[in-house]
Amino acid sequence: MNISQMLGKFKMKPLKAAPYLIIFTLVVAVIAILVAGKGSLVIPEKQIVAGIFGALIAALATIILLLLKAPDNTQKIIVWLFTGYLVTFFIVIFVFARIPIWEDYWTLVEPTTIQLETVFNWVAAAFIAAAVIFVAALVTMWILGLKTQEKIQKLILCITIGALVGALVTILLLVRETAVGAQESILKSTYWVLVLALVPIEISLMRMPNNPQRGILWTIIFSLVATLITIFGFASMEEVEDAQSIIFYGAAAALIVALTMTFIPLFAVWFSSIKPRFDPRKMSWRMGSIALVAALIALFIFAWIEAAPSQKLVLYGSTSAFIIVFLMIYLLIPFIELMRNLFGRSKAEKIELTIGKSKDVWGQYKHSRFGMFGLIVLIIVIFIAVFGPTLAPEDPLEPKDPGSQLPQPPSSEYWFGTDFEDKDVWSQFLWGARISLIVGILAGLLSAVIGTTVGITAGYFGRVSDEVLMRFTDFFLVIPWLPLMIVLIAIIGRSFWVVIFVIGIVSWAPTARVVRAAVLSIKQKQYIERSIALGSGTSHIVTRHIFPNVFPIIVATTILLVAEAIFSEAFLDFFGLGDPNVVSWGWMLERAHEYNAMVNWYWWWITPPSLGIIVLIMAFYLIGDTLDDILNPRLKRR
Amino acid sequence: MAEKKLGMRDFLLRKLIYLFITLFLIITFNFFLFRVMPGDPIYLLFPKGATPEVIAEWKHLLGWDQPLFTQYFVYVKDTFTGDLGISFKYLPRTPISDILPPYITKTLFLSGVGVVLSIFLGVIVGREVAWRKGKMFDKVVTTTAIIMYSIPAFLYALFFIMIFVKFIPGWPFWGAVSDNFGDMNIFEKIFDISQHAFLPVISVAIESLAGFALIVRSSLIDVMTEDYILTAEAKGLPDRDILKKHAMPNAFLPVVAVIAFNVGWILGGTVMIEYIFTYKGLGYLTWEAVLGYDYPLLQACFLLETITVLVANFIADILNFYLDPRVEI
Repeated sequence: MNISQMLGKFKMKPLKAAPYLIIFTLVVAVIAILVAGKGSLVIPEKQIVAGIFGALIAALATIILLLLKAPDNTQKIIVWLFTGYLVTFFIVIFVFARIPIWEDYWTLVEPTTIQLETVFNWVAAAFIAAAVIFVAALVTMWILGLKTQEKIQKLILCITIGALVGALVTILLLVRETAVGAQESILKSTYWVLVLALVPIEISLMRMPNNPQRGILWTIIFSLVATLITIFGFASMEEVEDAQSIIFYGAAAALIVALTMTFIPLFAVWFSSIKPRFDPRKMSWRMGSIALVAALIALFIFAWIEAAPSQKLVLYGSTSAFIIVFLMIYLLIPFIELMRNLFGRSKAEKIELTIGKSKDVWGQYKHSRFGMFGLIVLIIVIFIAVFGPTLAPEDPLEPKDPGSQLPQPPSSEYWFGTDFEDKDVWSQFLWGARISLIVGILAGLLSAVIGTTVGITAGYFGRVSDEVLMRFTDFFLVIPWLPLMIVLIAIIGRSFWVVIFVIGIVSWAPTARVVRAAVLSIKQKQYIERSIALGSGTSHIVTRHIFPNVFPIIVATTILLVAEAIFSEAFLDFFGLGDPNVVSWGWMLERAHEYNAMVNWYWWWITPPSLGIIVLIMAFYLIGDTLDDILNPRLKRR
Repeated sequence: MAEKKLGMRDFLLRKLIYLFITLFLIITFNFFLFRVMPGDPIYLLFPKGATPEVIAEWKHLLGWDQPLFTQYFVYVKDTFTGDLGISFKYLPRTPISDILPPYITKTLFLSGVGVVLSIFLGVIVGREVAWRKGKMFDKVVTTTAIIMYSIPAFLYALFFIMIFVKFIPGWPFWGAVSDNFGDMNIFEKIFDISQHAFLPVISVAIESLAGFALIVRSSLIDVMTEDYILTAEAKGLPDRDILKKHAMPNAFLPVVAVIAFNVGWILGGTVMIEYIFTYKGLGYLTWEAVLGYDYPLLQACFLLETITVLVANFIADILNFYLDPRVEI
């Protein structure tokens, strides 16, 4: 059978698949070029080569993905898989050995003399690349909902685990050989692992409704262990400095995280001898792959951020990178699990849905022109937030000409001009996106959590708690939010986290009201009554029936809250109440205002941050409004 | 709860009780908010190196040498009798209730004019847009309104200052009146006040104006699909009459509720507008108090701002009840 015949059997016709393949390849190529370029805007030869390398890997991944869809012919697939695997392996080694820029990164010794460490580096790189390919392919399959034979899945699982273990061993060896903060890396990785492992454990335990007490007990034990390790680990740790070690340390951490996320839930289940309703192996495997992808993305973010220009920003940058990682792993997994719970194929328990399936939501969403516009804008801003510091040509805080008191208008050197002391506005703009976005999202989430808790408690338990909590909510609705934020910050003090905390604390009341109303109407439904009659406990009803049903409402409300939180953050920074060491759009405006940029017509200084804030707020409003229309058509607000 | 329609008197009584409870909560909150700081708050007020005698004197002056609960009861009593304590830094040893009146007037003026303007224009714009639903005018104005709604008020203020400085030199945008205000005659005074208030009021009004216009539009569009509108059309009434006499009164109901909810937002907005334009109202005073760590003053400002919103909400509730016979509780 030749290839075209084989392709003919796929569900996806090769012609149809081609555009996806090309787009995917291009995207990866661009990202790879950016990685290699490290932000410089002139692209030399070697970066293009690196880009092509990245694209090749991506293309291979896609081909494997397509092959996986082939029917029944397991042997052939195995052959293909191994061929692809080997080809990748050799490409990686070949390319890594050839491109000077990669040598800078991946080799520990002079490029000319091939030593043990160099080989280890290549092997490690190859293993990592291979692992990425297979996991990416699998995750894509899973996301697209493609079906493969179980055998193939098992096979790939074996290969992936093999690759992971290989990479792990290599990295550990490397760490030992080079003595680059070996202990620290291991400790830090372990810390990550244990902290992160808590998520799947909690989820897996949450999903076993027969024994919630025991689940809680185990969760507590695990978190205690993680805390202890964190304390001891960080106590004896020094910061790892050079880029190379950071990459390896990041990779090691990522891989260990992935492995642990796969195995710890299994151990937890085995230890606590809970009989899970779902196959824990499947579940943990899925979560492991998500974690791996998330952790690898995190690794790259880490690598980039640590290469940031000035010391202040390096410190800050790694914090925000941690937040991004934290957000991704902690939110992605529960979110996906929840989504699966709501929309997935699980036959064990069908939850009555107030809305259609996720596909239907998207189907409606994409017809909303405003919504799509908002989404595109948001994606662009997220791109800036993640890659901005890499793309920034200058250090945003470093004065180019400390004596100068006159800002320069835009020129070919400074795209958006400079502010006083000739700091680059374009770089500040790129850095600022991250803070505005992170603060907005975190504060929005915080207020969503508070609002949901209050709303569900008030709505479900009713009576006294309802009355008390609703008076409390009314009280927070009445208090003018801006003065309250000002007062709170004046009392607590100014820092990044205080801003998030204060915004979250001030803005939860509307969510609580909306959620309560929704809970009240769901409580009337018959299946809740039946569930009570069957002997379900309160926690079961709340987590399995009430929460999933109000979830869509919470999502829409939260996105609107994020818009308001971004606004609040900009305002607080502008008011001079934000963290003074953090570059954000509000901070830029504050400085502009301080130096009377409006009066002096320094439009290039004011326009970028203003436009950034406006566009970001608008994006969230539009997305939130559209989702609101789709998810809860009856509850019209505003 | 029995589904029986409450009379105006019962409604008022009930709302008043809630108002009172919330007021009490706010005062309590306001008291403890400034007492939960770790350590003795008095030391936050002083630069290091203040003599114990000075500290003791101030403690006594502020009443902070009493036990916490005594302080609390004294605070509640004082607040209800209009004694807001004494300023610490801003105008040392002056009773706050003597400082506040001019500031309150300015804030009420600013937000009052802003609210009225934004409601008035918002309703007109929303109505005209809803009337031309689906036409080019509607699309353009609605998109503009969404964009305008996304722009924070302080950005408007910055933008206006930029434009005015560039193109209308000599336009005042600092303070509420000119320096030589005392020498003017009555017309010049009115002109001076309006000239100074123009930009702040526009900045306060414009964001909520867009929001109100969008609400009025969607509410009107909902109403226009009702059967009685069709009936009115069938009777051959002029289009404008249908809009004004049949559609508007009903479309107005949800708008009132939303406007009530937004009063707090607008008042919050004046804080930043006052800060940017150095318009000496409550918001500006809040800012001064934060800068000077003048906690008694900050406390008083915050209390007044909260009460303003509370009262505005109360009025809106009553108005809503009056307009909408379906409202319960």
